Amino acid sequence: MRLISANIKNFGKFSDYKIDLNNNITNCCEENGFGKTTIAAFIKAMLFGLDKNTSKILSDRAHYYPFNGKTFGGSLTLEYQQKIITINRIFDKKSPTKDVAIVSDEHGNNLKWDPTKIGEKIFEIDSDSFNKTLFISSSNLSFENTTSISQKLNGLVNSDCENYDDIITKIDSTLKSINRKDNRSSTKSKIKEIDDKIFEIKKNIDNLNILRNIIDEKYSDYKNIEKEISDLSKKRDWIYNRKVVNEKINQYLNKQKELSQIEDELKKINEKYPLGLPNQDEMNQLKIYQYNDYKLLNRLEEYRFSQKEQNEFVNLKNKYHSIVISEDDLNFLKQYEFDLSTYREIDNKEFDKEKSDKLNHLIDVFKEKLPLESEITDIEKKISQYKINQLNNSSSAFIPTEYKKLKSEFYDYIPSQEELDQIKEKVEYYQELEVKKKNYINSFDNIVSKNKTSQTIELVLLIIGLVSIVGGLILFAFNLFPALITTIVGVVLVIPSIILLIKNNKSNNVPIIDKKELSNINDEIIKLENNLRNYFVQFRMSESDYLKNYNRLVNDREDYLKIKNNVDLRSKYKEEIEKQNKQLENELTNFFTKYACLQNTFESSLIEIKTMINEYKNLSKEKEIFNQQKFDNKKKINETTKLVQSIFKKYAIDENTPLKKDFINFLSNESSLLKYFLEKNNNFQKQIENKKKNDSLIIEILSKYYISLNDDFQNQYDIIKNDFDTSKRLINNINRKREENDNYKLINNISEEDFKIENDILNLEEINKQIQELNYDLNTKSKEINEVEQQLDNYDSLVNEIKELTEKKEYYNKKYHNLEITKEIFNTAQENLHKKYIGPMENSFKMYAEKINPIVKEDAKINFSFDVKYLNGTKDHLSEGLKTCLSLCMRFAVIDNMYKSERPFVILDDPFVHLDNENLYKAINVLKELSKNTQIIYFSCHESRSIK
Amino acid sequence: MKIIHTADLHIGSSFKELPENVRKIRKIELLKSFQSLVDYAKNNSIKVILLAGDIFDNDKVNKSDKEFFYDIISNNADIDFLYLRGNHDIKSLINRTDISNLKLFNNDWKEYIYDNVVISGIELDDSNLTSLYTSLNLNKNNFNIVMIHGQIVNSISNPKYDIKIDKFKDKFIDYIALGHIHSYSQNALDNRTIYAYPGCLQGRGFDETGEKGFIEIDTEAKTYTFKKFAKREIYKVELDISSTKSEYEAYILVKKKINSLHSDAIIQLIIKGKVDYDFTNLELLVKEEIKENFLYSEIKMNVIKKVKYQDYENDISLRGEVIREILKRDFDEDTKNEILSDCLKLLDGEEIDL
Repeated sequence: MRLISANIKNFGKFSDYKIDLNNNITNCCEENGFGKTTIAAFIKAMLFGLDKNTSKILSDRAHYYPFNGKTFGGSLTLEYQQKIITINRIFDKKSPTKDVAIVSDEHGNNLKWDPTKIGEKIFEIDSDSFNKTLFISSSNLSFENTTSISQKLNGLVNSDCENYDDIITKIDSTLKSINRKDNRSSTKSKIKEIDDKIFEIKKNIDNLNILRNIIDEKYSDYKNIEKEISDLSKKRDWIYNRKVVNEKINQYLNKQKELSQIEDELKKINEKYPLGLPNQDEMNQLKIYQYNDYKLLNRLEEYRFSQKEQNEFVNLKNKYHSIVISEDDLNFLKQYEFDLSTYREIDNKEFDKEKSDKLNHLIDVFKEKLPLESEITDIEKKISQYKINQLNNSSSAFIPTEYKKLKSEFYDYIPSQEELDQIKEKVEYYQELEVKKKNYINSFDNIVSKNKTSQTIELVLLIIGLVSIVGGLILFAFNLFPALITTIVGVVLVIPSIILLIKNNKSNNVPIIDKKELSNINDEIIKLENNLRNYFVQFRMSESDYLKNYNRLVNDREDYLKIKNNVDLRSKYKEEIEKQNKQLENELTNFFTKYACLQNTFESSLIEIKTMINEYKNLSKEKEIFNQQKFDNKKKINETTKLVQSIFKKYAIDENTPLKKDFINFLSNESSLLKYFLEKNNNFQKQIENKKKNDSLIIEILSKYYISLNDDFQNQYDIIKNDFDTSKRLINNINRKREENDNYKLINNISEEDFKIENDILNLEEINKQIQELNYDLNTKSKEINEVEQQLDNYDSLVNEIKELTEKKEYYNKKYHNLEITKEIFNTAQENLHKKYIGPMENSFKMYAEKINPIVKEDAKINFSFDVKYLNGTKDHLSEGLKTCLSLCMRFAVIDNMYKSERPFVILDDPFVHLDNENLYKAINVLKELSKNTQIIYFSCHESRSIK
Repeated sequence: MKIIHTADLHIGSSFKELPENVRKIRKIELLKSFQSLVDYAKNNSIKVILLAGDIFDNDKVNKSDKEFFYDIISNNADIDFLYLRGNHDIKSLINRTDISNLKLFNNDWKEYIYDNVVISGIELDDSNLTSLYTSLNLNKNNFNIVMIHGQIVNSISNPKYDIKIDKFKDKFIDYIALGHIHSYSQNALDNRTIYAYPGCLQGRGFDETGEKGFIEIDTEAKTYTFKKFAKREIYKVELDISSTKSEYEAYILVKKKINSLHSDAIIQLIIKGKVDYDFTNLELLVKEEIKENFLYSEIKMNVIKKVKYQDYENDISLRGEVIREILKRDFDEDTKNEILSDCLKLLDGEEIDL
């Protein structure tokens, strides 16, 4: 790659300015203000464009805006990839987006490169990287790596490379934390900590092992103390038992003493009965005899007479000769007394006054002759008839409403038949006239229909009449009078209806009249109308149909007459019935009055009389019975009295003694008393006999033992019995006691020897005290054991802890080892990387640096950030000039490694302005070295710094 | 009649893996489980309890624990406790002749008879290892129970104190009440004989998970029913989070699993798998989630971050060089994963977890 020429159109101070450049070094030495920097900037701008203006710093765009204000831009011709290309650019004053850039080949063909990436395409680095490598000015001499440069230098990733030192530091730090080699540090390493912990724990375990041994001793001590306590307790128990034995012996002796007391008691009893006591059987017998004696004594007492009783007994014996009135006789007397009192009661009774009065009254009423049954029957019939008549009367009083209506019609008068005939003629004449008239006006049918209408009415009446007749005939079966009326009405309706029907049939023909006559007819009609109207009005008929009126009148008249006739008939009938009823009423009234039983109604009167008759009969009978009873009663009194007397005689009682309850009771009592006394006396005697027998039995037994019978055998027996029981009990007790004592001795192992042993002086108190002290020791030992056991509880966990710590230590050791390997791997990786990618650059640098300072060459090391490191701190001793030169070497080294195939050109804008002669010389030598294979465009403002 | 068969109570166990406060609780629970067993017997009118060995964890159990155990027995005088010692408590001297309902065994066959139920037991030692099978003579008309503590093997193997179960065939035994194995199992030996391990009454560690309890024998119905009895569950849960796509997803998966377990249990949770996301916070999150729910919990993280070596094979970077270097070397899988994991963390600017 080489820059051929730069053609400035307008750029800064330059306008239409062309520079041709050499292949190797283009040395442009001009005074200040010539525009060297401008040209350098122009070349750069052609390659990478211009930045947009910013408010903060003066950008190149603003700085190099053409002074003349004309087209801002130019072109650059260069050889790239063995082709000549020209870059044409026009810059906008302000905005890069308005810039125009065209890259064309030597033939002028547009290569259609991205105008914003022209420099990047050519150099494969960005603008910033270009400034740090191929574009060197005095203000940016030092080298700084960029991503673009790194990528160009085979794509090294910076971050890893930069972290290498940190990584190694971390590894070292971790290694130290695991296992610090020097122990001077205050911070312990983990392994050290573990070792220390293990040491401590082992110490604890050793202590616990000691305790484990101790605890066996303590268990042993504990058991010994327990045994001692047990022995002392046994001794104490023995002592206690010994005391118990003594107590038992004492108890035994007491028991023996009790036994002898019992024996003494027995002895006393035996002394009372030298020949002994009766045996059990005999005692049982005596018991029976004693019981018998007791009973006998009680009975004797029971049957013994008191003085009073004795006296009474004697009296009664004398009175009744020792004969007791039998129970039967007493009962008879009671019965007789009751009967007599009943009979007397009856005898004293009178017939009921009220009944008697009633009977007397009835006797007066009926005058001792009752009405016959036939009379009563007759009266019943009359009453029935009377009722029927009354009913008939009420029905006959019924006046049909039609009659009332008709009556009002013919209130004024009833027209005679002649009158009716005249009217009829008038009406007929009227009709004729009407017909004549209607021959002009009305149709035949109206007249006919009128005829028909009137015929219809007549037919209806006919039908009603026929129905009445039939109904009446039916009613005859039930009631005569209504049937009669109905039939009559029916007949009344039927006959006129038939007549009218016949008449109507005849008046069917209608004469015809002419017109002239019509008015005459009309006049006549009017006259007739007035006449007829006035006539009919009398009868409350106002219809204009006069024939109708007439017919109605006729009918009504007939009806009225018929009904009136009926009404009249009924009235007449009613009178007859009334008359009849009157008669009946009189008869009935007389009858009932005769017997004073007339009531509001005849029915009730009939009932009354019947009741009276019955009453009379009953009362009469009752009285008869009553009288008969009285008679019989008297007879009975006499008979009963005789019976009583016979009984009295039997027992020497005065026959005339009135028989009363009190007396009977008295007799009964005395008799009972006598009976009682007699029995009692007998019993008494018997008991005496029995007692004698009993006493002899007792004596029979007692005499065997020389015991005489006392008067008070009860008491005597109790004494003997008591002695006997006591003796028996004592004997049993003695036997039992003996057995008990022997058993006691046996059970308690009391030997004869025991009686001989004296009681030791046994100091229980002291032993108890010793036991107490030992228990205290035991408790103390138990606590010690517990404490030790609690500590020993941790033993296994400590062992486990050691195990865990040991494992952890192994882990750390392993980790340490692995980290060492890791460190070594990093070192190796770093070296490899360095060798592959940094080495060549380092060599290049050294090659250039040799020209500057051989020592530096040896010490210098380049890292992955392309920082030059001086191993022995050489850099700190380097002068600024030297550092500048070395930076230049670095740049060149980078360029060498960035562009292995097509070497780019390097632009230097008076970079050595700060160097002294020596360094300048060195720097120029380096440039010369570089120019061997690199086009250099060098600007300077002083001859001293130009390249020759 | 009904009989309880239990064994391997291991009263006095240290529970050394547990922190102190939890350890104390578990020790008390062990004692209480025995009391609860006796209460069960009382409530169900069971008059005989077989203790088939290892009732105490060792011969140096605390005095207070021993006294508590014997006091339970002496305060339930209407229940007979047939105590046969096992390998852990064979050296324990039982000096409680005052407890009339505590029936002991020794190295000869000893019988206890309850109507037609005959319970025979023998404690193994050198003197009776071979003779015990032939010296057992039982009446076929009885319901015969044999108590013995040890590991059952067939006749061919020859470990010293193991029980050659085949030699108990056809000896008119209805039930062999075993002890030693801490999990329940039941098998038939022949047409008549059933042999069973009741397991322990309470699990004591993460190697004793699963249902724990005792066996209730009904001599009339000839049934041998396992009754789950342990009130506290012990879980050992392995959870593979390889299928999860993020730390959050893994956390949710773990949380779901935790919630499916009985609370107040003891749990060891092993989270394993290979994931390709950062799971730095997962352990802490899980710890927070778990600590309130259970009496005691342990978490082990066996999770490895996946690395796609292919991504870095040609990577021109320190990362690429490191990975290539690791792959070159002949590490075992665990070491390789650990070194790789640390390298990646360092390259990502993180600290190394210890």
